[in-house]
Amino acid sequence: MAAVNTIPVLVVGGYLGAGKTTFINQLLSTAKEPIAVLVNDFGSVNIDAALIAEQHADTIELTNGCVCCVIGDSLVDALQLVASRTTPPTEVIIEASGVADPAKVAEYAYGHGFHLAGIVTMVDATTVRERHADVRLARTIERQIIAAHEVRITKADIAPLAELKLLDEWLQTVKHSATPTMVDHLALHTTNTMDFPAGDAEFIRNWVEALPADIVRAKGIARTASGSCVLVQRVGNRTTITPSTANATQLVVIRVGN
Amino acid sequence: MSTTIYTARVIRTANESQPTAQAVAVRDGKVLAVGSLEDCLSWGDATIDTRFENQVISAGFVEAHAHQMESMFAHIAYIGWFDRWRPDGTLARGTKSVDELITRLREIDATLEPGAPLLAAGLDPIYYGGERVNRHHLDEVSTSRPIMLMHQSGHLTTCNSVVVNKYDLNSMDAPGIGRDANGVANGELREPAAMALATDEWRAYVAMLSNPADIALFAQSMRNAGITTAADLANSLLRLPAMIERLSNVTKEDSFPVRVVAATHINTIGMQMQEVADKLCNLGTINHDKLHFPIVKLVLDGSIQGFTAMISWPGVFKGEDHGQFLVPPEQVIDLLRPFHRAGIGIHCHCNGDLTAGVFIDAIDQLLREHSWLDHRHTITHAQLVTNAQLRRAKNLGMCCNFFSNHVWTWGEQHRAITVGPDRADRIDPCATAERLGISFALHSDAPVTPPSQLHTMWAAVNRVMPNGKVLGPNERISVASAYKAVTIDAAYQMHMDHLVGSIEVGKFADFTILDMDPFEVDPMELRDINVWGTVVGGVIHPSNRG
Repeated sequence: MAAVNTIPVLVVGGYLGAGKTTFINQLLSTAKEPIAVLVNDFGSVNIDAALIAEQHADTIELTNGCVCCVIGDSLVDALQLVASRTTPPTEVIIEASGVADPAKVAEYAYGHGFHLAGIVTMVDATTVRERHADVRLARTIERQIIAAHEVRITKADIAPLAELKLLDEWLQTVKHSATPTMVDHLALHTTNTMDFPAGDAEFIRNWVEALPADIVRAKGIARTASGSCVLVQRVGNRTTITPSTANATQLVVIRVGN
Repeated sequence: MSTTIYTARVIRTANESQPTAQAVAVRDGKVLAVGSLEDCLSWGDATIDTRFENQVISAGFVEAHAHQMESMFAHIAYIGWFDRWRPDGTLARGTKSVDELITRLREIDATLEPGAPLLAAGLDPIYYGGERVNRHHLDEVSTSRPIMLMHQSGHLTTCNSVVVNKYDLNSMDAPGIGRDANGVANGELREPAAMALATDEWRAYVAMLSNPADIALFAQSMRNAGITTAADLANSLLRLPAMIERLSNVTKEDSFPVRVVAATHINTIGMQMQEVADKLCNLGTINHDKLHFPIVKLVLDGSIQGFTAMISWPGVFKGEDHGQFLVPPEQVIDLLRPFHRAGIGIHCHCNGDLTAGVFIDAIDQLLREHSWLDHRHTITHAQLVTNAQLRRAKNLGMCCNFFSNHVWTWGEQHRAITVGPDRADRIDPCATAERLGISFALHSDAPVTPPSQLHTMWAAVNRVMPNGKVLGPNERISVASAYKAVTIDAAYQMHMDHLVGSIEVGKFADFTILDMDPFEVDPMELRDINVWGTVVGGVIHPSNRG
């Protein structure tokens, strides 16, 4: 149970090069509220110089009110430091190290005025299965995925389609509830919208599954023949349909290339 | 330029070309001569000092893996199962039952100001016949002051109800909060994230662990154990120029009883590795006879007993595997390259075999890039290193530093719980390393186990567990081999063997004064040999143990 008025903490996990920093940079540059980001070192953050208001040894103040801090020896201390700011952050993002189990990092998001908002694990579509095949790394990578409330697939645009398909199956073996979201380099994809056909949920599923193989991602809310709405998602060739209370939309499809 | 000649019942030199002697002549803090009294007198005027004539003068013990944190026992009450010496030479008796524990805590409670927290370390309920200590036991000690007990493993604390209520732990849903059968917080807090929920008590505890100003207390503990050169393996002094200068001055004093090898902890230093290497190469007058910076330390995984070591298939025996790399394996070589190129020795903490493999791979690759035949890079702990890895380590010129005390302290748990019988039997494989011709040392990892090179020798020679059984008899080594491992070979792996580690002409006059000869006693009595004190650079430092 999250106590009232505690600060939500989002933990971002994922192996080396999976896109944690890119994701965190996006959060920082687009933040509408003052958020605090705790990172392992500034070396990798590479914040847009135009955004930097003040830089100290262990903190960078941004012009949009956000702050980026180096974790140093103690995550407890780093969290206390950001909580005690004159304007406390509305959210704290912790970058877990590339080998950390984000679930262990998330254990710090209790007490001291914080609560855990969730764990996002970044997965590099081009390397994750190869890395997992390395016996030294297998458990590290599995734990990062198992810990995640949300798995974000990165570099999907440069991964071969066949690999995306295998990746999808593999993710299911690691974690049944993993629902991947693709984020990186979407600009390199072509995004189109389509209308859903009329029919029941099963008909819609068959129709989505029959869409061309170069569609790496599809998502939309369809109104079925019975009048109820369903959330339709396709990742690679896997299609899932779940009941939804939201209003119907078009189907957004993302294709590789132009 | 006065010369003093010390005589002894026997002098053990740790120099295999002259293993024993009658007398040793000391001039300017160095060994002028060693051999017969006649040989020593042939150098001219000398004072003959017979104070050690009924004792054994040994080459000064070298401890290549301890931590300044040993000084914590000067500040915090000790409640472990085994007896333990404090830096001031007093003995904290082990607490052998829950009743004894409560009695001890009540005694401590009576000495504290009202409201002050009662903090103690070393709790090891594994030896209390299955009885788990919980908040209610501690409430028998006090219902008015916070009590927090750190377990021997360092992975959990047990607190009383004052602490549970102060932080409302019962209504918090953090995963590390221990609960009884009814779901009520039982006072246990597991792993650092949860331990830190008891904010004030946790901070007070952490503050006692590592204060660089406590190096003198560390030195007292080392001296009392007969150690004349000790590595503080893993510190962040390079980041603290004022502290490093202070350390340089403090260690220079004649009264400071140990040579310190300061190893920079490169995981946490928070600087670029090239900058660290450059600084280490340019310390100038910070270095002196009793302060050296020849090595760095990288930690690659956790501990076996904490289930955080990186262990290959079939993994841990019973319990949950929390194996954790502290650095991504593919980054290790980049972290280490500047040190290898600069001629700085690397000591890498590898408890599991997966981590040992990563370190060996990195050294293999670095040697292809940059030839350095005399690197002596060391796998420290090296507890589960495999035979195949040891063969590679041998071919690459690497050293090992074995944590032999594990056989005694956790051997039964390793067999029954952590890694199972097969791998437990070959834990800390000193004999295999010796068969392969690998130079190795033995260490205490103080404060993880108490500093005592007689104990690390005893453990490696006998491999006896508290239940009386021998763990892996084929990995036992001779007294002579163990002795080398706590003297000259420990010095060798820190690039210090030209200065310390044996009694040889021209080296520092560093001696450990023992009441009995390690080569003469029953090997099972090695650890019971009384240490009278030490001589460091010709200066006599009696132990302050009562």
